[in-house]
Amino acid sequence: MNIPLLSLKSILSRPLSTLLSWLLMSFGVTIVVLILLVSAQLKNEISKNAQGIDLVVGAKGSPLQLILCNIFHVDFPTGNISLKEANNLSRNRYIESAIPMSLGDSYRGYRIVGTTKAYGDLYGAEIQSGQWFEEDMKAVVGANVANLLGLNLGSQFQSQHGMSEEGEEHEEQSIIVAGILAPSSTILDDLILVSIPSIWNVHEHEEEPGEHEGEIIDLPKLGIAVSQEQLEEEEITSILIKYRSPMAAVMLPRMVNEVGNFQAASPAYETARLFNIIGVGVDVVNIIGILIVVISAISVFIALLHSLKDRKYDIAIMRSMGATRRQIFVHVLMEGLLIAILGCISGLVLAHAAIGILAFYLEKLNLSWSFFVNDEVWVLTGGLIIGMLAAIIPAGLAYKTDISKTLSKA
Amino acid sequence: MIQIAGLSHCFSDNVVISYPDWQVADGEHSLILGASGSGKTTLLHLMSGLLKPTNGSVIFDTQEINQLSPSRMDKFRGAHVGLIFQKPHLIAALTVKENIKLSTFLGKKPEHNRHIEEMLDSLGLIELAHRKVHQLSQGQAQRVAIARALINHPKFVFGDEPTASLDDESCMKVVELLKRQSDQHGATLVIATHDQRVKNHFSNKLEL
Repeated sequence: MNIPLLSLKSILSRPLSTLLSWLLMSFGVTIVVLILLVSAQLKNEISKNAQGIDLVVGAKGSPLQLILCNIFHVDFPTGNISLKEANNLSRNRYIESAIPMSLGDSYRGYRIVGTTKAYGDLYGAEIQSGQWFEEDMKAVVGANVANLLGLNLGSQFQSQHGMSEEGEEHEEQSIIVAGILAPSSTILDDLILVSIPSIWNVHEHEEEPGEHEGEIIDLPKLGIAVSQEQLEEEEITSILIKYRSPMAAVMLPRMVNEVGNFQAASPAYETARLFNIIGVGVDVVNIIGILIVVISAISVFIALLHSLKDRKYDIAIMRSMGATRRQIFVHVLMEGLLIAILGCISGLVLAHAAIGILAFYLEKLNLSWSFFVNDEVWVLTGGLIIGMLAAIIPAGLAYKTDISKTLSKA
Repeated sequence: MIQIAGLSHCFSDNVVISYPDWQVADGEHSLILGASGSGKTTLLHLMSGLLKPTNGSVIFDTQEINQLSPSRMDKFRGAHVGLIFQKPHLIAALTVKENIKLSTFLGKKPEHNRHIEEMLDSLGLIELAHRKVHQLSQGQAQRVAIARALINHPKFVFGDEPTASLDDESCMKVVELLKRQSDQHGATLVIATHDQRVKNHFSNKLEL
């Protein structure tokens, strides 16, 4: 027999109130940890996907939408910009590099992105099998896409117009898988990459595809080569820009916004804004979680206080058997602490299990149950301290029990 | 030997109760007799160190226990004193055997399983060892309380109305048991009671 075991037996002898306190503690911790894990992983994800992109230039509209669509591939494009103007802009001396993006098509729910190899290089993409597309109508597919759609090298598919699975198919033109990317835990895993002209090709219904007269003009900054006709007439969705110097952050956005229907959006600024918007909701849920933990503490407090009424005599008897005041204090404190420890542990396990389940249903979110953050230690510490605080007054009362008075009142 | 000299206690409401000098020899069985309200329980608490006297002294052999610090007193009580009360008040969260183990733990004595089972056996409780406390009858529970008080081989055993809530048969059994077990362990026995049934079983009596 020892004090912790005695405390454990004591809380087990009150199964209902212990269950209630434990459940409350458990759910409170689950909510707090869940919020912590999801926001940490989301921030992680966002910064990973926004790396190396200082500015996104696209058609006028919501800057947040521009970012969401062109970096995270979740929202719809704001519209198109002319290739000619984009090319003119890309030659600006403040720009280190510019990656063209052409969006709008998908295949069975996965987005097809017209771009260049530079886009893959941005995320350090590595080819797992096959090779990068050298010519039009060839695709490099992300690891998840290949896996989930069962695409192999040489597979053919028709792109669909729009971002939904029900989109109309461009039946005339097939895209052939030329390469499959290794998993990178970035947005690339969920994309199908093709060349910019491939996107134009599938949308040309009247003309003969792939045949354009005139000399080919090299657009070195954008990394593509097009005919004069294409340069004049075609459009792209956006360009992803990397600054040459810090000065560019001041100058470039203003310059961009002066051009026709162009707008510039900074991923860092827009994601910070997004987090501010989401932040309110996150805070509310967090407060609810903390509130539940506090209610659990109150329930521990009431349960202990209530049980002390019945146990006053027991405590006096234990004192008469040689228990010191300190032992009695620790005994009661330990009861609160045990419930807090059990609640914290099960809350933590529950939160990670919930992440695992979320990850299973939301494949695009790239969540992992085995992802831990340092703040979890603080949640645990906080939970234990709250459990201890809840028990400290009952423990103090038990400590002060007057043995003689209690025993003579029996 | 237990000796009380010039003992008095002042309650919080300024009522003072004084006791005559008295002594109990080693291994002797003795009785404190008196009607309810006469201060028997208070005397027992003073003698067992649960209460500090306002005046006078309680001496166990050569140790004047009212000079001990509260925590030393707790330790002394755990090691040398066994207490039995009118109601058994076993710890409800524990089984019969665990209640006995708790006593060895709090008394800082080694927890020998064989020793505990022998004790349970000698009190006819061995079959009840793993029962929950609420499954016991009043008499059984009182026997467990006796086992709990004696398991650490205390030199001094105090009983506060240990027979008051028992029927005649159980009453005699408990008295016999207390005397026999005390003899067996060489303990000095002091019982405070108003129970006339036990009066004739003791020679050293202090009437209050």
